[in-house]
Amino acid sequence: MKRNIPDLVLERYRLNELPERSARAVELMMADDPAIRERLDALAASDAEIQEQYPPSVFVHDRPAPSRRLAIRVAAAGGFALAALLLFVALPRTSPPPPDTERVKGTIGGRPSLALYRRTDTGSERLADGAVARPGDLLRVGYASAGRPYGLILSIDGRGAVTLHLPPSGDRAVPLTPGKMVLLDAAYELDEAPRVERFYFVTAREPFAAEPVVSAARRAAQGTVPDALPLPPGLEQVTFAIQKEARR
Amino acid sequence: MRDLDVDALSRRYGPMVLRRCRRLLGDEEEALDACQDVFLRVIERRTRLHGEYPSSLLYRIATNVCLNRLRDRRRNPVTRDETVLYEIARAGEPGGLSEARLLLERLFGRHPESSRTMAVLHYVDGLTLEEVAAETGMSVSGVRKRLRGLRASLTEIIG
Repeated sequence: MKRNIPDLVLERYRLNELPERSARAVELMMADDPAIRERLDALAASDAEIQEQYPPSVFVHDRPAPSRRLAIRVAAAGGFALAALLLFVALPRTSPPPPDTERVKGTIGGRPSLALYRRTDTGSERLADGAVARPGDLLRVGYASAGRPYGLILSIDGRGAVTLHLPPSGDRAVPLTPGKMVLLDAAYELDEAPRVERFYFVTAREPFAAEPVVSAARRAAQGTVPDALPLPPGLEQVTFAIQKEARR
Repeated sequence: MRDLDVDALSRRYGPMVLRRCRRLLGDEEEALDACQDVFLRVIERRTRLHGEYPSSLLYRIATNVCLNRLRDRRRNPVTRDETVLYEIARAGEPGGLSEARLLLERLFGRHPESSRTMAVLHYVDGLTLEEVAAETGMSVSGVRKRLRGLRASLTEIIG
């Protein structure tokens, strides 16, 4: 079945902001479907109509409504809040999170370890195992492989839902970055699932399939969040739990 | 910190943002107001532009802004503007308007703003789960879980 290209994809194509592979896919589909070219032409016509009708500044500071005056609202944006936001989003994807004086556990020869970091008003904080977190908290998961070359990370929440965090998709454990604490690319916003959410970092010295581990997790998650997963031989695990507090 | 040229951004991306707001809000004046809110948010979070395409970020922010405005409209007995949201609520479900209304309560009451944006991108705009994940910076499994949570809310209500 032919897929209709979303507006966002065409907008980004026009702006030359699609990854090359996606742009090629659009061009291939366009060769077979003249309607796509017509949609692009319509976007170009819409651009011209908007640019003729409005000066660019209308989007930022020419609107008369006092409550929407940009300068006032920008001035009202708190410096501390902005700094906190920037600190959190600026955390490098594969480097240790703050504080920088913290010793990183799980070096080669020790046990692998998991860590969770939560965005705060002043940056981020590392959570203790068993710490209380609330729905809406923005978390990032990190691991230290302790020399284990392969691994995956999943979690089970209080409703028994199993979520694979590493790899985000795929059916194999991934090669782990050795040594330091590594943060996963994606942040994780805590949802409303009750009681507890436990994260499981499963590692091995050889490549392994994710499916048996995920299946084991699903079986174990029937009505409970287990302290450990029943794993196939050759795999080891460490876990990290957060207690869920109801939204205030 | 790199200076942000908002005027340049508005020249390049303003038409795209306005189209997005027009589609979701269906009102020219409110769409223009929403555009201002979008670029304001960009200024407040300017370093988020690092490492990602501005079009993607602006489109997502515009979606958030418009959904919040639609939520505010719901306080008035106006149903014409809720079409988009009912599209979300009805997506893939055999149920009718009553289920849609119940799901909307969940969307706006219990689930975070980012989940609502994901729902619009997936159910209304037709982005795949992988594309939604790429747009929102979350994992595919995370997006799937969020959407599953939204649908579970409906199931919980209607049994």
